[in-house]
Amino acid sequence: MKHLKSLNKKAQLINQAVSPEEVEDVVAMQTVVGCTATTDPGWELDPFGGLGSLCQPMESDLYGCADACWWPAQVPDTMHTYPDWGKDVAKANEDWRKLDGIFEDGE
Amino acid sequence: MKLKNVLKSAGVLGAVGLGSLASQAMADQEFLLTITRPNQLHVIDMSSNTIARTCDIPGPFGTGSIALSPDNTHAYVLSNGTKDVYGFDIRNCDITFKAEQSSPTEQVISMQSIAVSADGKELYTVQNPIKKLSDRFEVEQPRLAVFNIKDGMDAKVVRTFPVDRRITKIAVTDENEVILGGADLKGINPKTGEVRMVSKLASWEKGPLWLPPDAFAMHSQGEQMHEYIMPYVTAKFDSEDWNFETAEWWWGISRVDLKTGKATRDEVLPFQFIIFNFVADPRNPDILYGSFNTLSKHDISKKETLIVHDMPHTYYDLNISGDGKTLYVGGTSSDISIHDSDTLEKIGSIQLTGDMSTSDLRVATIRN
Repeated sequence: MKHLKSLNKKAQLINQAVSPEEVEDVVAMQTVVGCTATTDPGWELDPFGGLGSLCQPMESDLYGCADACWWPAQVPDTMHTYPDWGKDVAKANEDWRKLDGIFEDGE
Repeated sequence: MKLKNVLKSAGVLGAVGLGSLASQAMADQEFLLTITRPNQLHVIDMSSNTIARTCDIPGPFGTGSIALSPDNTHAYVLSNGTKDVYGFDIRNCDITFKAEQSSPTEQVISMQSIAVSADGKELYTVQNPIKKLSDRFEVEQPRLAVFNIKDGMDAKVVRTFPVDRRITKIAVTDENEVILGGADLKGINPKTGEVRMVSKLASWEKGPLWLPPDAFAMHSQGEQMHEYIMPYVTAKFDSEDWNFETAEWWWGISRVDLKTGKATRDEVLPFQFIIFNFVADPRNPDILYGSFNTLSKHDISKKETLIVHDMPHTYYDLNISGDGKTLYVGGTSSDISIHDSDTLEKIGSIQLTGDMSTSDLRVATIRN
């Protein structure tokens, strides 16, 4: 990077960001409050290392994870990115098959 | 209770005098409020456990957060991905209030945070703004936003004050302090913006043997006790080696009395299973009920779990009737499960037209 010169403001900001002394310490979000707290059940393992405390069945938890941007890697984020994902499915337990995956190429 | 039902009850009982009939007709009416997809506010008559009316909320679903006016006749809800606020007269579904929080250059999200002032004149949200610039988004300082409810359908922010990040559920005390559920529990004066610590969590000082608390404030349905409960999980280690296998794991609660603004914080139960939300029994503040994959009953004065009842699916939240006899368990799917609070046995169900997702279950008590 030292041989490259930033030409505009954005590039200057990127240069600043990659400077080690400018990078802020990463602090573990131990007390998360409200979104993906560490003892929340996830989609793979519960806080006890098992499956019994995951939300059950999966379809009862779909909108709870989507609407509040709770697990945006596992289900579409309907708050920001994919607001229409569940548009025609009011009850996920009955019509979860209609809730399709998201494909970036639109296919 | 509707007059028709009162008369029906009087007929069954036979010997109901005019005096007691009048007192029944004047009795408080309890309504359970929740929101379902695609975006409807349901007003459920808790005397018959039937849907009294369903109000269409404009815009897409918005996580289902509900705040009540002090007289409980109006409900304020977050809609459109929590960007907008609508107010309803729950007696007839009339829309009485609207505030669009976002603008073309700034996106504002309010993660569950909505409350009404003690005098019913102001509405509060915590706004998480993002400035939308032509080449990037800039995250801005979260703020408490104040609206005048009398501004009606074109309400604009009248005051703002900076607040912490990560604030979700908020509530108002009788002295009109806004309780902010965040990494720590704080209170803000919505006239001056002055902030005080109500109950430390992330910054608690319990020493090196305690795991920093992992707290949760997605819901707080304490209207029957007029309180705010924020559950958290922590662990007490037997040494500074922090052996998770031998640690004592605990549920704790930060609990604010909304009458006085005074808070307590304590570890109340062994952490044995997941509970998303607690609600207290109006007859005994030491008796808590919790919901998730189980419905459970606890006596926190003895730090004991009394009953655990398996549920057919996950339910995020719950509420309780004013007499403490009936539990309503909801959230997630499209049914509210009704249970006897003594035994936790299921005694009924209310089928809704869509999923509740993360919606609140609020009890509105309209006093005659």
